[in-house]
Amino acid sequence: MNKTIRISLAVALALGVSLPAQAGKNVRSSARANVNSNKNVNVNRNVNKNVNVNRDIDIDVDHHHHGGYYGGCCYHGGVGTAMAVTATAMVTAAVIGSMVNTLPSGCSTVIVNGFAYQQCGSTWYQPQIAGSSTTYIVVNAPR
Amino acid sequence: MRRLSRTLAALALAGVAVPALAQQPPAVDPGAMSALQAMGTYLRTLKSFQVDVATTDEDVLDDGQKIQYSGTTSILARMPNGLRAEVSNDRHERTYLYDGKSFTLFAKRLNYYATVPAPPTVGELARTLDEQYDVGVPIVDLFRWGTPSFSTAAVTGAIDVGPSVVEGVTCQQYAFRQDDIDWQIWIQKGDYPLPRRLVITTKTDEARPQHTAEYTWNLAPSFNDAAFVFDPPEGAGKVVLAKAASAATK
Repeated sequence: MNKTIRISLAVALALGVSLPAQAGKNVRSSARANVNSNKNVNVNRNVNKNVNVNRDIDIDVDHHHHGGYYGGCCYHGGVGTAMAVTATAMVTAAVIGSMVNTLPSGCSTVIVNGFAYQQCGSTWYQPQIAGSSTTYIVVNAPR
Repeated sequence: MRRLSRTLAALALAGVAVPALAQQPPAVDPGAMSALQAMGTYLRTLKSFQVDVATTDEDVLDDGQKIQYSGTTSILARMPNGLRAEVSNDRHERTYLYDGKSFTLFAKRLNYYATVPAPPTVGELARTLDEQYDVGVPIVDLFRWGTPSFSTAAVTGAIDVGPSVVEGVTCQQYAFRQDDIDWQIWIQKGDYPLPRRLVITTKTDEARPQHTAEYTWNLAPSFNDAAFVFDPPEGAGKVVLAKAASAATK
């Protein structure tokens, strides 16, 4: 566990924010949907699919189970990344380059050089469409 | 062995069926394999097609509990360089558009889209998206059967199950085994050997999650080239397509 994650988790705990692992269930694997595949699609997908409770359909498309179950998110990076993602999502002390699945409230869309960004207070997020969901990368102010 | 033979003979005389020992069919039925090849060959003769696919998929939770979700995928293909796929399920409402030059993935619920340059054929597009972006072309099997991408070498078992009717269409059902999946396919009988139903059982998780798909075909779709070109809706935001984890580190 690197320092950033540890600090984020500590902050999350200090704020009394419950960590998502306790709130819902993780998806450990998914059915393969094609006979033909270039690679083994199930490798590593289970480790970092995190459950995200109460995800709002308006905030992120890719799921709208309002209960404790969430699947289909974030299989980029390893376990550490997944933890960093959730921890960062909980506290808005956003680290440049970190990824979140949902935005905090009060964001507005800003178009810079033709691309859509989300500005949430002083923090800027770059939305990116991935195979399984749409995520947001914390970036420096793009202008 | 002699005793077994005698026992078998006695059973046979007594009119008892001894199927298991009577005749072992080969693990890979050549008839089932040739039916699969014929389907692939036929699919590759189609210049354009439209197919509506009703799907179910399963996730396995930590404790082995399975969760099923369903959806639809509507595909319009102009071979070899036009594809429009509209996917709607509990997680996504997405449109995949490919016109032979660029590829756009539109996430309708967020009103975001991402466009990247694309190779000249659907087959190459599928590989590029998979390797560089971890994006799968929906129902990609339809574009791989009958091509070198489908390797029969992976099949370790093949059975001709028999006739079966899918949505009123008479099919022949086949069951195949591979190391990591078991799968069944229902192929339309007659002059148009189309896949009508597919079931894939993933064996790498002991809970064995399943994917099912039922196909409704239109082999004479009407469309124009604009069908494959993305026209951003009002207010749609252009964003980036995330690089695959493996590609990002390169």
